[in-house]
Amino acid sequence: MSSSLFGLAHFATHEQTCGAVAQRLGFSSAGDIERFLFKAYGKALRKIPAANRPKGAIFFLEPPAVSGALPKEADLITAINVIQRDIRSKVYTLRLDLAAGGTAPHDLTTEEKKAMSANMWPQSAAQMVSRQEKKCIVWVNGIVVVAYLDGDIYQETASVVDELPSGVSRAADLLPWDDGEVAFEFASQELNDTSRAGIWRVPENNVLYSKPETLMSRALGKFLRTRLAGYLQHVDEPYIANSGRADIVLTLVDGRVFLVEVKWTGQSLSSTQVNATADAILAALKAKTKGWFTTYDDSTFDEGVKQLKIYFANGGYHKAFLFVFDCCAPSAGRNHGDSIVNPAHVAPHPVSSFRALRACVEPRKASKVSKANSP
Amino acid sequence: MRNRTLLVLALMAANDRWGQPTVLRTVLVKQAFLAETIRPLYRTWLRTFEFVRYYYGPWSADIFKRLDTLICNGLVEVVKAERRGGQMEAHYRITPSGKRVLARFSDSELVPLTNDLVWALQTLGIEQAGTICKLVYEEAEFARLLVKHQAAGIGPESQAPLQAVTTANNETFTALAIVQALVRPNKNLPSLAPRDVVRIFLKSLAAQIPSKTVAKGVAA
Repeated sequence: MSSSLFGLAHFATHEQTCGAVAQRLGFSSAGDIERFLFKAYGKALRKIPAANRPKGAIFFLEPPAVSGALPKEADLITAINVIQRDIRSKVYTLRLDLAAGGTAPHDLTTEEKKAMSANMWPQSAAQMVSRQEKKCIVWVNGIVVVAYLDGDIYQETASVVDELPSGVSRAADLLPWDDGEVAFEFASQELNDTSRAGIWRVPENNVLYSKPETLMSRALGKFLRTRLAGYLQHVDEPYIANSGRADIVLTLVDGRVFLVEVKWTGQSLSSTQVNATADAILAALKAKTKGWFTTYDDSTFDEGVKQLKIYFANGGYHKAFLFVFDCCAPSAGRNHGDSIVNPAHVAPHPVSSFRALRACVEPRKASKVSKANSP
Repeated sequence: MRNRTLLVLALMAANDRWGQPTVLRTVLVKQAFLAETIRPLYRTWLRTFEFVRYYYGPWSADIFKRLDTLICNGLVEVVKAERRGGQMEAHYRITPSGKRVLARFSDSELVPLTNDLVWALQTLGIEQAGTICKLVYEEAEFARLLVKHQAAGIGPESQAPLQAVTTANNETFTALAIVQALVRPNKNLPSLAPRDVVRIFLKSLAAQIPSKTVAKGVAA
């Protein structure tokens, strides 16, 4: 077939996932955002000299007052010029049709300005703001445009002023399942997020929020949905007869069904201390106060594999995966990789039906530098 | 009004509805081809136009007969006409009478079909004739015929007919059915509107356009 099944599945999943978020934000469809970018923003940008186009600017996008309406070109050019002019002091909110005055500025605080570099917003900051505010945010740099929906890339185009093929979404390059090794990408690209939307309570000291496995498991499901090649669906915490609840059951478009158990090593804040301040947590760390932290070490691997075996015994799965996210402080020899599965722990099933992976996480903001340096 | 005439009028209205009131002749033909291609999504089983392979992709002389009828009846008007390289290029626009007449057929599936198609094309930034030509060249059955003709040395002047999308084993029909099945609602996600399904289909075509053709333009 000319359009591969995997290609169709990717487009369908991407649109369905982003469509749900877009609708939650009030858009009638995620396509409305693309239509604004290509039919209105791109056209307006053509009329602005290259030297005057926004450079590393961001703005929020909101649904139009009138469904399907787009702004007048002259009004949009004015709005774009204002966005660039005030890049160091304000972030604007634009309705798709620029209704109600068109723009609503938000004055940047000193803390927010720190996220800027050389008077430009880095893409990672735009993504973080989108995730924190749970809104649609657009990062623009010349003719390059990236639109984020609730922290996920919806649309990324190298040139918004050209028509096809550069107009086709390159968003979220597909990642292969690669026998579970997609977990390494997840650890490096998502779990390192130190914003409030992430898993880190005190990132500087490698302390996680309470019950981080729930946060990790949900974030993993979301990551697979938007980034995995051949993704069809996943179920969070499915009930498995007489065995309790697994973390994720993942189905690929080619019919394979995988069981995924999420574990972690390192230390998290105890559930009794969720309201503690950062200073109090640091003091407890220093004093090694009992009852403040929950700690897991490498024995997690064996426990996780044994647990997986119980779920796997119910049948219907092609393979079972244990993802252990290593959130300990960096040390020599700590790296992404396999952990050997003890055949005795999974008998009578073949050991080839199981894979245990260690994915190392460093609490840094997602950026090219951190990705390049991550283990 | 016959199905084919209605389709042309509905396409003119859809372009007007989405802020593109004047439509170039070539663009109209390619939009009609795409409308014919996606009609199974709207459970429209009656074939609209029969297309042939001609210069610049799928073509149907019948579209212009229908267009003439609409123009003669004051439902569509010619905004601009010019001869470019031996070829007549005209821009058309629906008239207020055309809109009134179309309103009488609001229950026809062709109305949402054309609305969704034009909207979906706009979300991909497709506006120029050259761009929509590139897109239709990637339609599976047309692409297959093109490869076959190139191997056999058959040119576009032969005007070989293109099979209807509802013909058995039609690859595009299969692709549309797969997309529809993939976007069914599940526990976590809602279903998508038909226009989003159209957009996914068009994206899958666009994704196949070789990047080299951007600069070169379209060949016959």
